[in-house]
Amino acid sequence: MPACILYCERCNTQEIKSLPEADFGLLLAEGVVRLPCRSCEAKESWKLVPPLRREPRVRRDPRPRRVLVIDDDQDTLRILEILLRPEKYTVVTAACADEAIQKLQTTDFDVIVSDIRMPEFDGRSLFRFLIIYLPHYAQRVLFLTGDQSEKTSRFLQECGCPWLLKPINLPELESRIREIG
Amino acid sequence: MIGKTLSHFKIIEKLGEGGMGVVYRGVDLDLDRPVAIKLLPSEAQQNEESIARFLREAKTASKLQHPAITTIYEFGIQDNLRYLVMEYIEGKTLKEMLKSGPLPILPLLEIAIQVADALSLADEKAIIHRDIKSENIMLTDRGQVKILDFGLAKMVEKSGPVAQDGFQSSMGVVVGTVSHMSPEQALGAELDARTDIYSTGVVLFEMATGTLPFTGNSQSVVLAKVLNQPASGVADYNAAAPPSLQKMIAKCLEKNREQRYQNALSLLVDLRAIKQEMERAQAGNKMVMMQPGKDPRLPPPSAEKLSDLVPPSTPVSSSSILPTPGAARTVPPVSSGTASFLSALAAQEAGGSSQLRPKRSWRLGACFVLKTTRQAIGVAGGLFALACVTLFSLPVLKPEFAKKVPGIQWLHSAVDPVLANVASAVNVDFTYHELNFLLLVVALAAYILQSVVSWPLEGLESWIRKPLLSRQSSRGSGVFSQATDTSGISQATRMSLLREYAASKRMLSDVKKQIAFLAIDVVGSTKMKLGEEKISIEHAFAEYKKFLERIFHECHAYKVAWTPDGVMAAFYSVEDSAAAARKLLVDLDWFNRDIHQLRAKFHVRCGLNVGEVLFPEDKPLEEISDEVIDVAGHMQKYADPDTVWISEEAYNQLVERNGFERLDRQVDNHEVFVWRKPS
Repeated sequence: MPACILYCERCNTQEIKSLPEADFGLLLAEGVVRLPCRSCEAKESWKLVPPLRREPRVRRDPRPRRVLVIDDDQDTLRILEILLRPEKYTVVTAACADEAIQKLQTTDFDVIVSDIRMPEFDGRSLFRFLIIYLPHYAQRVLFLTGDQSEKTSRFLQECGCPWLLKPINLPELESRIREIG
Repeated sequence: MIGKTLSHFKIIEKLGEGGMGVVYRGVDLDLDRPVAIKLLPSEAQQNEESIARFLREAKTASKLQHPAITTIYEFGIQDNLRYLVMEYIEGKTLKEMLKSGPLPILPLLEIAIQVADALSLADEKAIIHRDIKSENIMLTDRGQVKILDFGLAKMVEKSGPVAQDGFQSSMGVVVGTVSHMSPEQALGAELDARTDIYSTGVVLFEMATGTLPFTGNSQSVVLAKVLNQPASGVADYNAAAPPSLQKMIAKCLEKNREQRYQNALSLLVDLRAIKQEMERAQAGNKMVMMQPGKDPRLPPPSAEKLSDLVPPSTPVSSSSILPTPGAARTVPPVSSGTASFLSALAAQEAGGSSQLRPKRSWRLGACFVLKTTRQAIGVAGGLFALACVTLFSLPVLKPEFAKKVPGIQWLHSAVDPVLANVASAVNVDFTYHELNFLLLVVALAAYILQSVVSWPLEGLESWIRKPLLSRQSSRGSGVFSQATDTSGISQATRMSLLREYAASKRMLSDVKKQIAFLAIDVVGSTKMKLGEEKISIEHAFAEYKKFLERIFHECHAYKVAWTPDGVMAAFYSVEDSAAAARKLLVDLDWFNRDIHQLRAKFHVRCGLNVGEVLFPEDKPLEEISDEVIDVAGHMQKYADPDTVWISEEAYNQLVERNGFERLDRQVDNHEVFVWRKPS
């Protein structure tokens, strides 16, 4: 199993842990696993250490930004394809995490704009997968969601990624994309 | 000029006059919309530099498409008059707004964010404004910021020295406004985007205090202060300004541009962070607020940060604003900020609990020594064995030729002593027809010996190397690798990505259970209660609850969550959940007839959906949040009274499908089937 950098929610101890399959599945699903902590001397909740945010840098590359948009709502994908104009962005769309991973395998992207609530592998699980396997992409995620549930709010507060609520506000979206890279 | 028409733009009135042009309000006769028309002053119309500058303004501004940057509609020449037609902005300049005093912090931040956002776009296009000031920032009635006069902007060359500005050098004029001018601009030095950061800092100072950081009786006095005097603290004028904002403004106003924000994007990110933390601080301990664009660089509101936002009663010195060295230890790792994470890491290392970066040097050194030793033994053993085999083969050659083989003496000197010792030890003659078979035995023994010695060394090396290898692999999957700006994933990762994803998906699926959710709601429950005795209502609903619990029990519900009028039940099987729903609708008649005495009867609507949900045994249903549950809830919400709406996914798993009909509609992109209570 891949090594994950986790921290204990109680004492903030950070450790690299190779998790058994069941715990790894839980980590992807809920972002938290119950494991013993040497410092706390008890079983505690461990979470993935969120990715470092890159220092904001001015992009001087005149080529369009490559943006991967992941959303199970076809309308959102279509709207973003139209709004993010080709002279500024090269937009590739994915209707689910499966498609997104296939696209990530073959193409490089500057920014990933992801929905959160999606069937099966949702935005949260995808983000956790990226932290573990493609950490440099975890730094480039921008969440665009219409979900205002407490679970999603908590996730957004903790993930450290820029995020926006639907409906799409283009100037704000462009500004956040610029912030990422 | 009033009343004159340029192209299809009619000049209505003069709005103002600046060094590089006169601005008129006009109207677009084709589109019937107000416009601003900027004309070069008549004396400048003949000046080639002024014309070039005017042209540059048009080109520069038209490159920037941003809500906070004035849109250019047209540029033209008519009757030797050069004009620029821009969007007409109705609103007030920031300067006018500040006449009534400093701005409250949140509106200040909102304006600053829009300015910094626009400047970050300009920065990306290698354009600097060079005259950011409160007069050049307008606010529309809808709160939209508009930065005027990108006309002073000049293109920054991407490489090589910046071209000397013709206007500046030939006319000996320093472009900009003295009070908002950066020190390097005042000195006539080459400019970059950091000059705009300084000027934005001056505007921030103005907004926070209502005054300028440097004032004086004459421009030369102001200029001298800009160059030599440190800016006053914001807290000297406005004690309510949060320390984080004070620090930010001070950073913008650094004389040395290396110590300022290096780009508008960094300023923007910090402005958003301060705004978000202020909003969080205001929200206090209430429920989590959804605020777009959580800033990742700053930690969540730790006690230290929140105290930063509380307006100090006395002016805060810069040393008290800075976090104490030990503070990093208290920063939780969820902070996700570069600085906080690194400081937390540094604190960990300093504290000796170096779980992420144990001392690797001794392991690397030991591995090197072991590997070198092992290789040396291997090479020596191999060469010795080869030498033995060579000497064994020599008698095959003619004796005179064998003597001429180069290096044969060296082989003899290396092998013969060993051979003699072995021969004396075993005391057996291995020679047959001039071939000494003892050489072959020694060669074989040497080979075996080097293998036997190398094997434990290799094991020892692997044992020492193991922690290093696991750490290296985690580097590829952890935070450390994130400092590098890789534009794409490595080829090896690409190769394995799909496999890793498939495995992750399987593990994710393994921890989830297939659960059917049945949402039930009493139709018009509020109306039912009107005009009824409270005790009767309570009794009726208590009976209804018992009635439902009996059905859930009969149909093997896994878990149930109650709300005042509704209920959500989880089942391991769709069949059971559908049976519960049907039974409820059918038995409700009996319940209404025999059990309760309210005037209005109980009618319910049900929604059913199925899917894989992470549902730990020890968690109540109330704490589970998932799209599958939401869909069940939405099905119920849209269902007609006395019907069960189920998703297509649930329908497909049903064995008993009698009475279900497809509906011509969707809920949350799910096809719907309906079951109606038989009349």
